[in-house]
Amino acid sequence: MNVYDALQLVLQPHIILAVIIAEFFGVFIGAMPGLTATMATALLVPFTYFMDPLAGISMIVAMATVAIFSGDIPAVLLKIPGTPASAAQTIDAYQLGRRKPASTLGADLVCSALGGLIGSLILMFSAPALAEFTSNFSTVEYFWLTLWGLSMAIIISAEEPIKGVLGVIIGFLIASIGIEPVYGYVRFTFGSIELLNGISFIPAMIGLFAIPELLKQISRPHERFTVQLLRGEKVFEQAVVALKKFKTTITRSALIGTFVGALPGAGADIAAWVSYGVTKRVSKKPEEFGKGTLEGVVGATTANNAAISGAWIPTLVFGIPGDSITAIALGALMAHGLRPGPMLFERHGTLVTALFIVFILANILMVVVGYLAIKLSTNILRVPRNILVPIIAVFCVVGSYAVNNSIFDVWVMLVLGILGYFMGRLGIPIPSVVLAIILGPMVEFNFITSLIKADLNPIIFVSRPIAIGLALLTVFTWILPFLKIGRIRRTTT
Amino acid sequence: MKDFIVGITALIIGLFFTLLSKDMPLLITRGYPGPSFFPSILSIISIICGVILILKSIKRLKSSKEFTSILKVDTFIRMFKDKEVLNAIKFIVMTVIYIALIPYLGFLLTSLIYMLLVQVVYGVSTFKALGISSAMIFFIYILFIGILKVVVPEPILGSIVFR
Repeated sequence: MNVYDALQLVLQPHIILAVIIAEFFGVFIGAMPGLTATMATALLVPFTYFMDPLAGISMIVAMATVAIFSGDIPAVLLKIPGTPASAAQTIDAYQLGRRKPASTLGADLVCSALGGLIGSLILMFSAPALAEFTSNFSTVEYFWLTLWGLSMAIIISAEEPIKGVLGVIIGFLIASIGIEPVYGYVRFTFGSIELLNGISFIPAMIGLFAIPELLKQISRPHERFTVQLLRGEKVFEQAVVALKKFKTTITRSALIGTFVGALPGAGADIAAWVSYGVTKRVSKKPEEFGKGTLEGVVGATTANNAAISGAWIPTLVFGIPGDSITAIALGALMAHGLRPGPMLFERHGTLVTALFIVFILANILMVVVGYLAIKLSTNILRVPRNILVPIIAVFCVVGSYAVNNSIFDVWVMLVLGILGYFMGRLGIPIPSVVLAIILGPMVEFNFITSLIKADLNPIIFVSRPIAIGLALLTVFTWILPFLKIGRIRRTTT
Repeated sequence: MKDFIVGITALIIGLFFTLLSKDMPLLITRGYPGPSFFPSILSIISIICGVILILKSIKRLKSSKEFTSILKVDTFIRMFKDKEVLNAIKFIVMTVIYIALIPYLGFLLTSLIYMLLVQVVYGVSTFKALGISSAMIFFIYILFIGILKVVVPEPILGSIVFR
């Protein structure tokens, strides 16, 4: 790891400027109830194609980091989580914020930054070690790994696993359009030349994540919120209290957040719920949870930001996204010619180290940008939906078009967006669809290639110790719903 | 009701892709899995999921009043009369027209009209909407076309009309 070279790469004015701009964008999107960090990532990615790889990926990292914190702003001021990752602490944050809103947000900001920093350090040290470990993986291990990733997406992201299965099937079928990965056979193109290369990833992501949100928002165009006004209080007053009283909670939540974030398909929202639940269970005053306790806010908010870094561990090491944000970021990495996996660490070691430094930088800068966001929060929350939605829709169009300069991609974005809206209304989880679009072709390729290598002998799938371990892990994931462990979200919500 | 719709959809998806996969080989030389191997498996799982969901929803609703309303046209009409769904449909229609017009009028002009129209339709005053839309087009031009050098669709009529 050449830290000095990486530092030189990061400390260039255009990289720092890109991080700051992305953080302001993240503040705005995260603070708007209903607009998610994932949607912001989908909108941002096409424009990162026109930048150098580090600047582009840095923008995604910085934006997501801040958007997750920023989602707590409407939670405190309106009792509405800005992003799903803020849902766990909303009631406590709002109750606490009724007395001291700015100070509650200050504590939230500092704990988010600390969670992000701890997560970044874990990412920095664990990812290269894991990459070295996986350098000997064959198609068999990758088959199990990708199948496990899909299974996790089904178990975790859906309220009903059967709808998660359907989400995966839809994603898999979308991904199977175009030239088939093993034999080069053309599938499901209906004679269209544009579909030969398959469905373009970025327009699909913009469609599936941004359009359903816009449709939801425009359904209630005149909705107005009563914003809790900030008083002239010290922003970091509660942060000092949190740092003095809840050191253990912060450390534990950061570890939980990073671990849960690293599970494929889990993400920041589940990390926050798990950490909130654990914090309540070990608290000396569990009866205060739900009534405005700082401990609950600290537990959840530290974890959700740590999860953002955690999600990058499987993304960079295996090419398996930890959450929907990294699923989209994976497309950006590929577009820049950076193929995740052990070779990424070997061939682009300095760039990967630079990316780790960006994580740390983004979390430090978040304190400054977040402070400004707290001061301006009441104004951000007053932007009307009927003005915002058409503007974002235009951004969706230009983003989808920019990838291949093709109007066909814009239609793909819209069609998948409408599909995503109705899937969302029917309870089919979009993250499962997206994960299947990414992992589906990998599962198919690794399965068929392994069978060809072994001359159709299925024993190959359990012929190596790591493959057996991964196979057992996958089977265990399948029986999770029966053990009722996988229903974390349902029970906690 | 939701499960019933999801079940029917899953069934249709499964049958549709089973039919499409029929023309491709399931297995190729020496019995290796062919290009329709995975899609066929997925289609079968989709059909199974669909049947389970339909049976589950029928079982759940059998004794309730909702069961009789499942097959009534009223339910669907009511769904489309829902103000939230109507607002979403209006937005979809405007967006479809917007995208269809881009190749003819170019990106900037079409976007200006689209932003203006959507804002006005959803209750923003015309002057305010015009001001905001113009400012946004200026911003998009400077940021995307000027700084990021993003290529945007130009009109068939030529760039003399607009970019």
